[in-house]
Amino acid sequence: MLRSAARLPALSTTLLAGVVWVQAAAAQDEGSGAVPRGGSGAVVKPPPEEAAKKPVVVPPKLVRFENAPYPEAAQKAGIQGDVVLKLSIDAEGKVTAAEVTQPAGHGFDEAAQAAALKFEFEPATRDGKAIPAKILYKYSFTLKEAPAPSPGVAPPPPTAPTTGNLGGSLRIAGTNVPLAGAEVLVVFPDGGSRRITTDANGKWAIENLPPGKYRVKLKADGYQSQENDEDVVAGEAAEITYRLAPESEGFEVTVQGERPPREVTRRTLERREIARIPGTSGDALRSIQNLPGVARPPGLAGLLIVRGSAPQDTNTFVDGTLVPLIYHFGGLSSVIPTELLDRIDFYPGNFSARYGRVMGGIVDVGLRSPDTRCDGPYGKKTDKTGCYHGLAQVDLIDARMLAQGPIGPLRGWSFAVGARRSWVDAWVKPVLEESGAGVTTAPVYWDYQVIAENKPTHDSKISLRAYGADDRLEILIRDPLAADPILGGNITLRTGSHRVQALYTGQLSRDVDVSSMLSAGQNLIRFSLGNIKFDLDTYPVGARTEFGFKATRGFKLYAGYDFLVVPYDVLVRAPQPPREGEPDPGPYATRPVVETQESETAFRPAWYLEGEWTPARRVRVVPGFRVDYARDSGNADFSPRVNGRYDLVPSTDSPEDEASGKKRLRTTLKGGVGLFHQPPQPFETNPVFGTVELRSNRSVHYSLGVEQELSRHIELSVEGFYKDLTQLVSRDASGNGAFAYNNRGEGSVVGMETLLKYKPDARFFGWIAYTLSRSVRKNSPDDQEYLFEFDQTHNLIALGSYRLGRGWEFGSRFRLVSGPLTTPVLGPPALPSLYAADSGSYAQLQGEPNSRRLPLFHQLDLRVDKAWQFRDWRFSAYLDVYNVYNNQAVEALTYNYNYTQESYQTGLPIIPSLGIRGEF
Amino acid sequence: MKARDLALLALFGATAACGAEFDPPHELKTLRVLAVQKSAPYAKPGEKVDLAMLWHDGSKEAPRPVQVGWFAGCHNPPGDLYAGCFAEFAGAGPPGPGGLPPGIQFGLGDTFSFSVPDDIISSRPPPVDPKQPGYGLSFIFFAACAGKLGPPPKGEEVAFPVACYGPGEELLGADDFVAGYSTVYAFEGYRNQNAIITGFRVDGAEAQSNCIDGACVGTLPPTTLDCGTAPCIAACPDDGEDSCPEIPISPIVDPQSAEVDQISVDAYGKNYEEQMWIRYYVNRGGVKSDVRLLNDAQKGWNSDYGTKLYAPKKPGPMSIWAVVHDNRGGSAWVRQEVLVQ
Repeated sequence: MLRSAARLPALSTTLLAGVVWVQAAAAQDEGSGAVPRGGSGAVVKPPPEEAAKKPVVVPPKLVRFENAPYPEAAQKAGIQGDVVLKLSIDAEGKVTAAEVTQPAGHGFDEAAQAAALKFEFEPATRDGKAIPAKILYKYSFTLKEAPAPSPGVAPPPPTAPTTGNLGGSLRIAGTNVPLAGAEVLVVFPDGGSRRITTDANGKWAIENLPPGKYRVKLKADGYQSQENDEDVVAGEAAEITYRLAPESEGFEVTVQGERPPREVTRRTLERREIARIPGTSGDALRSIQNLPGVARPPGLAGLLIVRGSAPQDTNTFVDGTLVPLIYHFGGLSSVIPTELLDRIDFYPGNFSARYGRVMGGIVDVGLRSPDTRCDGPYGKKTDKTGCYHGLAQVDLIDARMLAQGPIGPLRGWSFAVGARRSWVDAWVKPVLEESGAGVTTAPVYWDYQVIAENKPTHDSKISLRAYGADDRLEILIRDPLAADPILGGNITLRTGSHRVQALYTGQLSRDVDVSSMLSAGQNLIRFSLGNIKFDLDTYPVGARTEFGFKATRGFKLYAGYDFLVVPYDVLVRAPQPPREGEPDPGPYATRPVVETQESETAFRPAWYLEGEWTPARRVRVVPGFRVDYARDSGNADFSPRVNGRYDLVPSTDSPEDEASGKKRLRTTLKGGVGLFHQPPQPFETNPVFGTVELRSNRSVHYSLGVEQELSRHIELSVEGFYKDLTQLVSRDASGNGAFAYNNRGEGSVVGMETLLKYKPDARFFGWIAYTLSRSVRKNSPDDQEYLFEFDQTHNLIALGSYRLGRGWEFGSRFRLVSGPLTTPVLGPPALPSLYAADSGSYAQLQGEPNSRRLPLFHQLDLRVDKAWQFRDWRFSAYLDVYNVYNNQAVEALTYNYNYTQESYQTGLPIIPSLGIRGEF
Repeated sequence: MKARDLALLALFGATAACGAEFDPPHELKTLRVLAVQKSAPYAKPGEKVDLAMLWHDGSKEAPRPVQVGWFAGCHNPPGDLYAGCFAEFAGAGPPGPGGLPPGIQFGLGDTFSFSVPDDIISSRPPPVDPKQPGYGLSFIFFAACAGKLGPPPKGEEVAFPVACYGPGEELLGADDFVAGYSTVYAFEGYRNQNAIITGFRVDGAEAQSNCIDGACVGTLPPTTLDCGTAPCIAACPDDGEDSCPEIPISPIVDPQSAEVDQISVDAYGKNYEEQMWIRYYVNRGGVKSDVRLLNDAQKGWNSDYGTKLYAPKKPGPMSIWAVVHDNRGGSAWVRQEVLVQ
């Protein structure tokens, strides 16, 4: 509202423009470091339909104007001037600060400032709720001849304004990075329009608009368009901040670092990043291997080696349900296709008390909500929903399809159905048969996913799922391996995993939220090799519920349970498995087998409490406690944990910094310590293979680090970690031919992770990750320490992807990693092997375990994508070239028949992977 | 990459296997032990077991004296691991100034005998699984040396406590010295027979001029042959490479050799058979497969257990060995002479 004071000399004031900062939006901003927040389980990257929803914002309205006295000197000198002030208005409409942003000098600034501090406003509102705001206000000091008033006649009132101004600030969703060069089309009430471009700060403005409702259409290359209706009020200048979300190309997934605010570190990967990392063929779970703290596994193996821990020390969940086999055939591709993933939360250590039973890391995969958005012509995003989508893709290994949309007769419900089947069996079978093998079942895998979802209210969701996977092969090898004939004969492998799952998230009251999950299913493993057999059927039932109570301002309490009931049937007929650090037992072919068969039910309940305490805006402390019980081992484990974050320098977007005009780059200190337990492996407590009474493995995690924003786009994160491992399951040979297991093993892991990341923008994403670490073990306190088999001293990854435009995108990844460890055979004058006469092959005589490191690994992968957007559908193709310069990376040593000669065993050569996709 | 490697690739999630090609194990170019046969792979407590070694010196220095030594007396080592025996054998060697450690029995020659202790089963704790029959385990170590056996050099870190010395007291390496072990399981009520070999086929025809099992022990291949008594094949200019014509060869093995694993039947009701395979060796030329499946524990007999011979370049006699193993310590062999023309 414009007020003008008329006095001799006359002056007028004009409300120029108001900038409205919306505080609720800042709370969702994951770029600001002071108080990172997120939804349950992750920093949520809102799906496109949520990004399109906008709040209703009403700017503040001046209700009491204060006249500023005209500076006497300026009046005498006939000087006029405009002063532009930035006013900070609290939620009660009081002006708390008035900053001169465009001075006029001559005393005008001080006069305008003093008067503005006495203004009173009706506060700005967002969705009807009063909020603090900042606006720009122009005080114009003008001199004009006013007719001398007749005695006793009051001077005429100032002219009422007839126009208003409309402007805004455009930024990237989830950040405060301005979007420069974006197109803003303002459609007038009468149908006319005006097109302008945002400046370097993402700002735009149109002045002197007649009052009315205007449609503002925002468009920027690489970002989802947005349309909003805004009101222009005479005498007011509205300035609104808009945020555009990056455009999704098909389906995208977000991989998170540890989930704020309940873990120590946070590394965020945008959805687009997962689908474009070269060398991964768009496999979301394989993308985790590019994060710091994750070691490179051998070849294409789908192993997660996190901060020097064994692969079995890391668990993978799908929305809280444990999934034991997350890759087909141990590494070919993930069992959940990338297109159905909404997020991946990755916690390399010091994770929340909501997870337990492992002491390595956690991967929690979240399935996405079915997509029912409607696209306009040529793929332009709209706010409409209720449409169907489909996808079909073929690459060198498999073919997949996906369909999703609303469930017609069921109002509010949506569905997604996906399926995938490998077709490599079509060409592998003839190749195997040609070379003499008998093929009963060529290697084949398939998986399926069915999702039905409803959102009864805006803050609740029900999701019903069914998903599963199956791998199988059966081959008769007529030429057994000369080094160990056990690898021959009939080989059968079948693995399967099937689940039904129901999830509910909702707000029970203003201060209480709940998330709940129930699942049931079956896992099966069938493996046989000659006279070795392993049959396992499990029927896991999982239940997990968490309540969040906002106890007071600045403190939220989480309480939950995590139950796992697993009836199982197992048959094992195999020799005793070897263990790291023990002498080579010789060829398996003639080692005696031990057999056990049992049917039991494992019961593993857990309860946890966790608090989120923010005593000050810059500080967050998360203490937690978890209790696990394992009926199969009889162990109850108590695991306290605490972690915290402190913003040494808060981000630019804090109100205090804005008011003082400072531009700051965030510096956050973070740290944590926690106790983690992992029950023994099932065979270790089996009465035939192991020892019944064993305690859980134990690990204490320590971590300390810093996050530093170097610019709006670049962030550096450095974190040191130390893990103390005790009570590790180990064993001694016993007199009855078996082994007596114990908890005398020890170990430690120390390291440092560095991540220099360029946050994704319309063109580019990338990072450089470097991990320095050392992981050691001892089989008992008296034994000699040795390097852990997956120890990798150095791990450097540099990757990036750049949008060239016209649907082209190009990416590369370079890796430089310490070579793998191997246990050498004895050298002269010692014999390197003994002839095992029963099998006709040789048993190695070994030196110190893991005492030899093979040459450094390095590799370059490249990827090119091209998309063609048609009116109603989209076609894309990619070429992902693994190992571009065909480096002969050494993965292991290979020996001749009696271990007197050795040679490097190299990994995969250059492999191009081509894929094509059609989708609507 | 062989079919087997592809299968393993499919099976174990791909680490790939591309490495250098070594001399295949079927080519006998050094001193080699090919097999050890036991009169009773499963013995009873107190039973006397006879062992015989099949060895061949393919070195260019052959023929030369080869000393074969045996060490018995390691019973029920911890974890049933052979490495647990080494402490018992520390300081062992041919009877010398130090003598033999107590309980260790030593012998020289291509054959050896020892007696399974009477208490080999009763002296160890029973198996954890009560369904499993009680058993005992004896390790017999041996060494074939193209020189003289002796204790290892002082101060050197070695695993096996025996060394081999040449005529000039030089220490001989793996080309001239082979050490190894064999096992004898002891059960009260279970037996395991060695495979039964009745002959050999070359190019589809049953051949003469061969020896089977004990008849080959202590004998050297003949240096002269004629086509009247031995099969004759044409020499190949590519000298045993796989570009040479393929000549089918196979031992004649009695299918009755594939026994049922009675322990699996009695303890768990599982009708598994023995897993059996054949190893092929030649002193000249080459063969297509080093190892062939003979019997799968679940799928049964593989009648296609032969391999292909690739003739050498140089005319003259050559020998082929086929050693049949089962996964319970049984073995049998045949040596076939062939004349290359």
